[in-house]
Amino acid sequence: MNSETLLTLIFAYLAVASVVFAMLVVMMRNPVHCALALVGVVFHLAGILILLRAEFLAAAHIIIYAGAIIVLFLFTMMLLNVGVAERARQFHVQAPLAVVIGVVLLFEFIVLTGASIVVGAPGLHTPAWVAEQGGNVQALGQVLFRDYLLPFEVASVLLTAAVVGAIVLARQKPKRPRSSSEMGVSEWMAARVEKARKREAESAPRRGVTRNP
Amino acid sequence: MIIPALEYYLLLGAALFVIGLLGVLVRRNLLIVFMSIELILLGANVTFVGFAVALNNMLGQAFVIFSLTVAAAEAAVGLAIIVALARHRETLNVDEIDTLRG
Amino acid sequence: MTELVITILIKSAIAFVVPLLVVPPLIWGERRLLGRIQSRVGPNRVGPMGVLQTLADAVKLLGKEDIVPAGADRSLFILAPFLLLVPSFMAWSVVPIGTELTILGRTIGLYPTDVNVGVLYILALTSVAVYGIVMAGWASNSKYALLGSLRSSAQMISYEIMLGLSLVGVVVLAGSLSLPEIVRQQQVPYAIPLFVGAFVFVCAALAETNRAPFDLPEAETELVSGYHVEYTGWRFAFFFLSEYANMLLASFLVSAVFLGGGWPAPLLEPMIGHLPAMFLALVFMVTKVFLFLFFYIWLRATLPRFRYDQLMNFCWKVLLPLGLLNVAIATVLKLTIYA
Repeated sequence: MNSETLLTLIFAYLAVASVVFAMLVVMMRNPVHCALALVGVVFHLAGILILLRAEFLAAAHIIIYAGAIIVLFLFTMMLLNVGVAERARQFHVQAPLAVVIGVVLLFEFIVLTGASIVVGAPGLHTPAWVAEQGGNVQALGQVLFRDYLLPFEVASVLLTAAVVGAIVLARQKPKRPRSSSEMGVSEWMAARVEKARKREAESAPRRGVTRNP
Repeated sequence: MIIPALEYYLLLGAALFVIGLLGVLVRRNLLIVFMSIELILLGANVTFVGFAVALNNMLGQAFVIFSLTVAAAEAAVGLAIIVALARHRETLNVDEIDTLRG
Repeated sequence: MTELVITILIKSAIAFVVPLLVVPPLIWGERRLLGRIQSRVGPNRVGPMGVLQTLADAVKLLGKEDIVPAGADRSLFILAPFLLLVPSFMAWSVVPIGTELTILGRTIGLYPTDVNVGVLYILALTSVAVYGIVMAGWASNSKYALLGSLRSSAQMISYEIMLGLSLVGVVVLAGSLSLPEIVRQQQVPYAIPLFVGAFVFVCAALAETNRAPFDLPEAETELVSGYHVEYTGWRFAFFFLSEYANMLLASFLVSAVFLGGGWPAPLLEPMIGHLPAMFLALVFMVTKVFLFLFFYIWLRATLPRFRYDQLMNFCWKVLLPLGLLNVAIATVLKLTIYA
C-alpha cells in the first residue's frame, strides 16, 4: 500500500465520521449528547486539517472549539437545567420542507464542485516557501503578523467587546433580597450580624440600656 | 500538493454546511440551533483551509483564525443571551420565544 | 518503512507503559512521605516497607461492586473515566524524556514524536480532559456530583488559560512550539529568566491536576467529594490513575520546559549523541522529575486547601496579571538578551 492510498483511506474515515457526528448533533434528543457529538466532529475535522498540513489550525480548533466553546455550551445546560424535555417534539413542522431544501442545496454544491469553476490564481506560499519559514506555524505567523496585523488587532478588540457584552448580558440583577441558600457563607454571616444589630438597636431603648457609641 | 483532490475537501465542507443549516431550520431547542451554527462555521473553515492549501495561499489559513475569533465571540454573547432568556422565559423552545417585547 | 514502524511501536509502548509503571510506586512513595512529614508511619504492611500497598489497593478496588446509579445516563457514566484517562495518556506522545542518541549508525530521539505544535497539542489535550469531569458529574444524576463537576471544570478551564499564558513566554524565547526544540534551546533553564512564568505554570499545573492545595474533589467532609462521588470500583480507580498520570506528566513538562530537561548543556555539548551523554541526560531529567514530584507531595503535606472563591480569585486576580507580566518579560528578553 503506497502512502497516497493510505492518506485517502484516512481522509475517507475522517470525512465519514465527521459527517456522521454532525448528523448526530442535529438529530439527537438530549442536548448534552449533541454537544458531545459536536466534540466528535471537531476532533475528526482536526484530523482533516492535519492531513492538509495545517497543524496549527488543527490544534487551535481543538483548543477553541472543544476546549472553550462546547464546554461553555455544557456549562450553560448544567447551570440553567432547563427541563430537557426529551419526550417533547424536537423538530419544527416545516422539517420535511427544510430537508428538501437542504438536499437541493447539497446537490447544487456537488454540481458546482464538479464543474470546477472555482479556480483561482495560485499564490506565493508554496510548500517550499512554508518549509523555508520553518513549518506551518512559522509561515502562518509570518502572514498573520506581517501582512494582516491590523485585522488581527481588530479581532482582539472584537473578543474584548464580546467578553464585556457577555458579562453585561448574563449578570443577574438582584431585585429581591436574596434567600439564605443563595448566599455565600461570609455574606450569610454578614447578613446575620446586620440583622442582629438591627434587632438590638430596635430593642435597645425599650430595655433602657445605654450603649457605648 | 493535496491528497485527495481539493473537491473532496470542498464536498466535506459543503456537507457540514448543509447539515448545520438543516439543524438551524429544523430543531426547536435554541441550544442545538446554536450548535448547528457552529457546524456551519466548521464547514466554512474546512473549505477555507482546503482552498488555502490547494492554491498555495496562506491567507486562507489566516482567515480561519478570524473565523475562530468570531465563533468564540458569537458563542460567548449568544450563550449569555440564552442564559438571560432562559431566566426570563423559562424555556429554550424557539417556537415559544416569539414576542418582540419582553 | 518497517524500521520506522518498529521504532514507532517501541516508542508508543514505552510512552504507554512508563506512566503505568511509575504510578503505583509513586502513590506508595507519596503515602510514605506524607506519613514521614506528619510524624506517622504510613503503609508498611504489604510487601517490604509496604511497596505492594498500591497493588493491594488496586485489587481491592477491582473486587468492589460496579455500581451505575439509578437514573444515571448509563453510556456517558461509563464513558466519562475514559474521557479523562485517554487524554492524559495521549499527552505522553510528545513528552521529551532525553536527547538524541546515536546507536548502530542511527539517530534516535528519546521522545516519542517531535510534533511542530507540541505545546499546543498538550494544551489541547488538557482542554479535552475537562469533558471527563463534566460528563462524570452530569451523568451521575446526583446533585453533589453535578456541583462538584461544575467546580472542578470551572477550575480547570480557568487555570488552563494560565497554563497557556505561562507557556507563551517560553514559546517566545524558544521561537518554536516543538518540545524537543524548546529543550534544545535552553542554554540557561527558562526558570531563571522566566521565573514569573515558572511560578504561574507550577500553580496552574497544580490546579489542572486537581492536587493540593487546589484539590477540592478530595474534600469529602466539607464538599461531599467532587465529580467522582458516585463512582466505585475500577471506574473510580481510573480517575485516580489519571490524576497521578497527569501529575507525572506535569512534572515531566516542568522539567523539560522550565528546568532545561534532559539536555546537559553547555558542558556536554560536544558529546551529544553519544551513549554516556545520553545516559547522563536521562539521569538529569529523572532527577528533576523526582525533585518536582517531591515538591508536589511536600506542598500537599504543608498547605491547607483553598476555598472555592479564593481559588478563583487567585486565578483571575493574581495569576492572570502575573501571566501577562511573564509575556511582557519574555518579549523584552527576546528583543535584548536573546536577540
